[in-house]
Amino acid sequence: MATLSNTDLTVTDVNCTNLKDASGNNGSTPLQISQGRAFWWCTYDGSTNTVRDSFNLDSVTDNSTGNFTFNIDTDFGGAFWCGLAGCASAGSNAGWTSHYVLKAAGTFRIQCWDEDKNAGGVFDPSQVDAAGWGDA
Amino acid sequence: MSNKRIVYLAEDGVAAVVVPAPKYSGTMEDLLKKVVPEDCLDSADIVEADTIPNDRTFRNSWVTEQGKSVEIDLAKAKDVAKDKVRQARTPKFAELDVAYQRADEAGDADAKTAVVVKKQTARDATADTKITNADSVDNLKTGMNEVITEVNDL
Repeated sequence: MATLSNTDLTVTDVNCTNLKDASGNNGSTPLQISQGRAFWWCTYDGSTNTVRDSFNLDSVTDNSTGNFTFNIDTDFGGAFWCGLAGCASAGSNAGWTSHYVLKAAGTFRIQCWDEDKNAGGVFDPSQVDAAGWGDA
Repeated sequence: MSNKRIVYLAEDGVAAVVVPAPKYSGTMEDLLKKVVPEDCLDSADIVEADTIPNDRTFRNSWVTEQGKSVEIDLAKAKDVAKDKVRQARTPKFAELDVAYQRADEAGDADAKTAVVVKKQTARDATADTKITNADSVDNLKTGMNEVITEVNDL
């Protein structure tokens, strides 16, 4: 086995079996990193239709009250991926989301509910977080 | 961050507003082609962000058409206002039901009559002329809030 020592190594592609920290611990395979890292994520303000920060996301569609679609930049390989979302708003004790209508390779549409804050259920939370994991 | 938005009339008749992510590096034209459903392309357009209403009270009455930004449909806004009055009066009806039951148990006919009048007032709230005759969105919002306050004060 060859040993390469360098404190400042610049390469384009590394084909390896395992990645470890400087102490030789905390190894992870590229596959583990790939599957564990979120494929996309977004933190969004539904009360002002503002994307605070995101990864692999090109936009958010404000469809109606409490109803938002996250438009993924580089799509998943298919529609079967893991999507999670949560929401909250100031002055509210409860906030939750439910998937609704659509989870496709390139979109994730959710509806935000809070019957504590709004008897009608749907509302525009100031904090919506969403993310997805899966294969490209 | 882009100061542009994409707007289009969705299949449910409500205007959708697309905000690009701060890290999005493509063009708005490319984004429009990617995110707007094919059936809605006829109504889609790219508009200035500051033309989108900040007040989301009547969000589900927003409409748009190609060449225009988002506008509030007054007739649809009145339906939204009625829904908000219905939401506000739901707990009031429950409260009045309890009051009626207690008056009934006490054999207090006058109290029962008073509750009946209040319940009828709550039922009629959605037909209040402050909502049905509103001639602008601003007046509708003011009237709706007054009606909700009246219902809450019953």
